[in-house]
Amino acid sequence: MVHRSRSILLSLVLILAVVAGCAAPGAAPAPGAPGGQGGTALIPVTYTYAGGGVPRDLQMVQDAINAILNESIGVNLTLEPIDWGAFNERMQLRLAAGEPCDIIFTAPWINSYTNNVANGALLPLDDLLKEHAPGLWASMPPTTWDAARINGVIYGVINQQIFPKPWGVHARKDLLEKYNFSLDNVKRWEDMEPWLEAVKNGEGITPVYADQGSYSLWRPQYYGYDPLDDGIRFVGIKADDETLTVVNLYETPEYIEAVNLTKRWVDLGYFPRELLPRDEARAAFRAGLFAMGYHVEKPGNDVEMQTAVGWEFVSKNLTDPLILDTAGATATMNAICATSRNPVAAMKVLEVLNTDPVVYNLLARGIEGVHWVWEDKANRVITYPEGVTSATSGYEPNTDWMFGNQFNAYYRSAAQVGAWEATKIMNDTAYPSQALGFVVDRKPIETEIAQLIAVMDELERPIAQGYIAYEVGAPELLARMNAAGAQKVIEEVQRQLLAWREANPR
Amino acid sequence: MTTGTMTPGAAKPQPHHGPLTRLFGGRRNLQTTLSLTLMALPGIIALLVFAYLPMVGLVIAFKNYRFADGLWGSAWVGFDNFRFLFGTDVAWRITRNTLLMNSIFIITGTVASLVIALLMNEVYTSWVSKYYQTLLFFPYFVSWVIVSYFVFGFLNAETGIVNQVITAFGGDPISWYREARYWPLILTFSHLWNSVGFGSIIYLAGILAIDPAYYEAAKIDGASKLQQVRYITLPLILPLIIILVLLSIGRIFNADFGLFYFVPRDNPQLYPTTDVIDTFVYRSLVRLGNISMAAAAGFYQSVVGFVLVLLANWFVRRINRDYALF
Repeated sequence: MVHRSRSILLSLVLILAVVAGCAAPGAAPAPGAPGGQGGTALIPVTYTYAGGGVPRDLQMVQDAINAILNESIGVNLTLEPIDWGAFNERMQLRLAAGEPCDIIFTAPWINSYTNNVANGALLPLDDLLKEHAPGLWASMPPTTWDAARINGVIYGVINQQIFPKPWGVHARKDLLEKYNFSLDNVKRWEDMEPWLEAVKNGEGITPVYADQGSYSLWRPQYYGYDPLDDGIRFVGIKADDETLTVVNLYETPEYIEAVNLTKRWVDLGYFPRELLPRDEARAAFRAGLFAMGYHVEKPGNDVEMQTAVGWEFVSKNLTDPLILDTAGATATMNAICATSRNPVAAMKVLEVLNTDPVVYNLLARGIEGVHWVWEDKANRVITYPEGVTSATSGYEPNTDWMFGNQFNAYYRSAAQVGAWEATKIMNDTAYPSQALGFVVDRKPIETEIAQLIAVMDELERPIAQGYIAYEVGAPELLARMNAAGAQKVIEEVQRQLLAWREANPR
Repeated sequence: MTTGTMTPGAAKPQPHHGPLTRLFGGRRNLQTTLSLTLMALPGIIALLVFAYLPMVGLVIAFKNYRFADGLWGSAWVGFDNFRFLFGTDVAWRITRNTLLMNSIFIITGTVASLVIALLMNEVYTSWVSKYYQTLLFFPYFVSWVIVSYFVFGFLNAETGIVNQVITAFGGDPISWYREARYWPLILTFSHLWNSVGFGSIIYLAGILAIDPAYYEAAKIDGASKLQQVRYITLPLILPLIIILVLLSIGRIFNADFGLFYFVPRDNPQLYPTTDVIDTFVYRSLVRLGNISMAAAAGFYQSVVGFVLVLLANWFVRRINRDYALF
């Protein structure tokens, strides 16, 4: 009897050990709980965004920001950068699981804004904005805010930065000089070819940067199109088409021109034959294995790219006219999760980030004297402290446009001075697409979109990447897309677009 | 779980006891079974928590799951979420790839592991045998992410070793990551490289357990090495082979996600031969951001997988009842 009860006791102990083991993680202190801040009743707010890993000095920067926020709005902010490669997946899983979060970065191209709204993951912000962020609300005209509206409701705070997409090139300055080439006469992609040929032969490298997420010369706005929804990819209208005729972009002459040129560049050895993940491709750029990139060449992008990959660049916008579309105006946003426990405090943080240059620059640039020093305070120009570079700095997110109003950012070098004013002019003078403010409701065509994405991933990408000629790949692509419901999607988007125009006459 | 039946006499119910006592088959057995049951309890709880509790999530496949409304608040939509699977040929393709690749893995894996185990059995010097075992076993611990970089180092179109060899012999370089047809071979090879050491050790253990008297008798009768293998070793480890093969057939609808996702570098052009159900479910989730559709694909996997296990077991029962799992 004795040994039996002992064995029962033993099993009970074992069970308890297991149960306790399971329970332990839940008992851990909630994230964002103020640790040793000393203040009473500080409201915890988290901010989750994408970055290149966790910066070494993140805690230091967070403490410096909190030193201000604790005082001014009684908030304790926790910064949660997630690596670029994992951000989208991690956010989708977190939101799906209903894990509490406060401020999150969302965009048409990553952690999809429309998807998040459709899933009810984001909080409506109209009232919060007007009540608790008057400065932020007043910083942009109502027409800009309209771009963030879905069914009339604002769910995301637009970061002021470049709104149109000035697709263009940034080329390494040393190689431009070495091969005696100037960007002054470059008007289109193909004008770069003589220099690319010289660099390829002279340096023995594939000159044009590409990675797994960015690989084609097909950029709708460069070719005059408004791609109504980044997530659907293949529908769009000519930005100046007053009849708002929705087309399959993959059948347009401009698309064919773009992918043919891409193929030409692959065949000539200007584009790499194997695409690397973003981090590795960037490391290769830093190591000098690429000579040129092509991207949104907003004012000051040369300096931003120099911070990213270390080389001195000359950049030029090749998109003319500039087109302002919904996706551009909402290209980067911060939103508040529906699960947020402190939405008011979160909105107050967004107000500070967008209106207070000191806090904003703490987040975007780091701490004065540690991560940067003044070079020319009158012009708001900073530089690295003695012995620090972009590669060795303990805090260098290089994503001003993610954290708030970029026009509040300190300039990285004298060369960048005036970039924000120039950007603002671009924003104000870009041609507003006929469909500016229109957002596709994907619900009725969800199944078709899911099927189409699978087809496009497989068949469109190799064409866009220039590995399969358009004439060879397009018949199968278009046939499979039609079988997967491309026509139904085009018709539905067309119907929504016309109904939207009816309700919002220009 | 069924500890109650282990004690003889447990079948007789004794109605005048309390419900708990009755559950465990009477007072006499309560003493024995309770402690055994308690010892099994952590395992049972783990099984419930990790295998049965998540099944509640299956309802997501039939709902329009909105994060805000939660599991029970979201609206029912019937089979709508399954439409994207069967609207195109994607369901057929991922099913075919999963079954075909796993069948190849089972056959090649079993044969290769057996051969290696047989060879290893002939190595008499103990440290040499250990050396080979360790060497073969080591890849089992290498993450697929790392393996994907090894493979990329070999097959990279521009700087890959394989293409350099091909061009050195005057051939044309091959864009390995753009030609789907090579990938069944590459994946099979990667899988073998990874798993053969593990499999061979299990078979070796089985072989070592065979009574040496059989071999001595065979030697006296003048049997050659091959004959010994054919008439002694193989028949005696056949039950082990069958059990291991059956177990892997039971999992034939679960593809090794790491292998199929990382080694082909999630390259869409390779999907025709490398896209399996697990990778498809994962991509549906992260790329479409639609949990309901991903859940539908996962549900489809479970159903077909369940049917396959039943079929495999039925098949084995027909051949030999004793070898069937149930």
